[in-house]
Amino acid sequence: MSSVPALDGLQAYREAQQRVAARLPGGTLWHAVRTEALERLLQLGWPTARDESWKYVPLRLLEKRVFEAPVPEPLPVDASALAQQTLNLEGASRLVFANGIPVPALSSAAPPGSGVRIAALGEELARAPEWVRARLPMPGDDPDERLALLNLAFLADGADVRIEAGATSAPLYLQFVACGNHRASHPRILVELEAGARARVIEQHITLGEAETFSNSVTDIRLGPNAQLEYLVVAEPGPRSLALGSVRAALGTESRLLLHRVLFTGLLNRCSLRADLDGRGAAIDANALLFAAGRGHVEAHSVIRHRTTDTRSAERFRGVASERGRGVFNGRIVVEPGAARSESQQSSRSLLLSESAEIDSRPQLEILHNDVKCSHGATTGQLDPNMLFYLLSRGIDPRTARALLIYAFLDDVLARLGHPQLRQQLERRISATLPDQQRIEEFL
Amino acid sequence: MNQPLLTISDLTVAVDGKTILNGLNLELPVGEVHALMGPNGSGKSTLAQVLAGRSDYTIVRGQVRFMGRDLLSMPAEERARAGLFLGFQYPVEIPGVNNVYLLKAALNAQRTARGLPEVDAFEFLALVREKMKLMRMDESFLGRGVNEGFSGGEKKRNEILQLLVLEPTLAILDETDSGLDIDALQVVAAGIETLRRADRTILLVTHYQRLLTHITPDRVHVLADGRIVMSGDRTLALELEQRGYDWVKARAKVA
Repeated sequence: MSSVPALDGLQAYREAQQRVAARLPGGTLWHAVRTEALERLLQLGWPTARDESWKYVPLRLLEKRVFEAPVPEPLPVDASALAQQTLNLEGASRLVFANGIPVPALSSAAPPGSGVRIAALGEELARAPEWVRARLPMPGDDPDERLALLNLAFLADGADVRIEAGATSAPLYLQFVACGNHRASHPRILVELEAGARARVIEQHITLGEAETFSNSVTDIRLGPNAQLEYLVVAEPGPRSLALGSVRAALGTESRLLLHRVLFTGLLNRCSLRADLDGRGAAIDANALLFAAGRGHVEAHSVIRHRTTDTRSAERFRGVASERGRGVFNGRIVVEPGAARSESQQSSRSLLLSESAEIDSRPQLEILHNDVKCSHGATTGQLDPNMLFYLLSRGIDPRTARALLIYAFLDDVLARLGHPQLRQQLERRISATLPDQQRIEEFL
Repeated sequence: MNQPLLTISDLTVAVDGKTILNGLNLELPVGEVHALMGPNGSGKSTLAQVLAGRSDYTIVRGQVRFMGRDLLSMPAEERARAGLFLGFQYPVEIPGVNNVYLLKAALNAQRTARGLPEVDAFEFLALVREKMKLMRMDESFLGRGVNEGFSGGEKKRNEILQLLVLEPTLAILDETDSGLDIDALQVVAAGIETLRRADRTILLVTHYQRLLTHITPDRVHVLADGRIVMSGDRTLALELEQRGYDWVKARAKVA
């Protein structure tokens, strides 16, 4: 197996694809789909700094890295290293994927409830290639869809989750482990809730040990009428790895999506969201927490489209950058013509903990209909000196005081996590990554 | 007069190049309640903040001794642990930091500094509940963020609650009476009155004398143009109320 440049000279992907083509499932049909996706990507080219949502991405950084083409067989996973990064969720069904390929030995056997169907995408590709083809349309020309093209060009496996009408699922924990040095993976996640179904899904992306990895995941969420989904994306690539994630969601009538994205520092950690409020009365709460430390670069993007009447969106972004960390929040809300009585709120707050830290926040509202209520606000700053002095004047030492205020800054978003056990563990993870947060463990 | 707890000598303080306190001298003896009065802008709040350790002020000259120590060389948190408490004129809201946790952390910081064991969680809660009752504070306060969504009056009660729990050696209460209705004023005044002890000093910083009808001070000082221009017993407060601050300023100039 030879090495290929990751993102520059996209040509190298053609060779990489040919090398693994015969081992990927889906027969000639999928061979053709992958080739089409790759040719399309080669034709369109990689996004450039001129593309709005790629403006800050350090493309040069990507070009220097070399990753091996993904293979359909999982690499051995160091179970004890994995355990350290695993969230402990009582009653949850856990599915582990190594470089995008399921690892049955580490996964729960039973589905999380009746009416819940979970399949490995790789098996479905082999069994029903045309059926899968119909469910995964070719991405469009938008620069934000280039990652989806790349994902499709190397599609090998993933998770296909369907919750039947009226069914309720226990928490489902999808754990994507990037392992092996200089490896790429392109996980695919499909989550569909039929009418009135309810579920809570956790999608976690981690890198094992000191490996340099590249992960390019694509998640498609579909909510039927009155479905309710709480979806959490946690991405922790670590200081040497790249995690790129694309989440697309289509919300049906009166459905509700509570989406949290928690993006920890990484060489590059970028997560984009596109949510379409397609059905009347559909509502999304989109929360994003971003932590950029060291020399990390973390980006949260979102486009939320109100496409019909009585739709509601609330987006909350909180970013913390320390040391030489760099963060980007790009949040666009579009109220399309005809989306009468839509309501939209967006708030973006950034906290800079050092002179060299930076967060660029770009909230954007495009309102193409009159009868709507929209508000947004954005702030960037350091810790409030009045709050700090108040705590000091009560005898709290400066480091603990700062840690408390950082935690308080995040609290109104963390408080929206519906699962207390999950919230507690995320708080501890956040504690571990921020300066002096260990000092406030007793407060958590 | 009792032994001095706090001695301020020739204190001169500037903000952004502008002199706010100008050669201020003041002595607060152990076990006494003093009132510091003065017109708006005379430097009362600056003095309170400087004593508590706020760092945005420039100390041009002067000295402050607190329990025999050089107060101005101590960081804010050390002053608090040594037993100095500032009741803020405008207590800040800190959503996300729980009231009770802050109170417990504050008490433990003080206890640790004095070589005492940390407070037992159960006993602590009982203590807070008892003091809350005294301040007529609602039970829901326990779960809320520091001053989060509190009315002006609730914030002031919360300051006094902290005061009651922390039991400082020196309490500096900056305009604790402002923004309180008559009922709340009585509750706050009663709270402060319970703290009056032979080994505790209280400095009431106030613009009006109305708090002083509830808490009788041992001494009254008038601050104008950055220094103490007049000191007297409780009747000085009443005289000020009748004659206004212009009278003091005029007298100060003559003197």
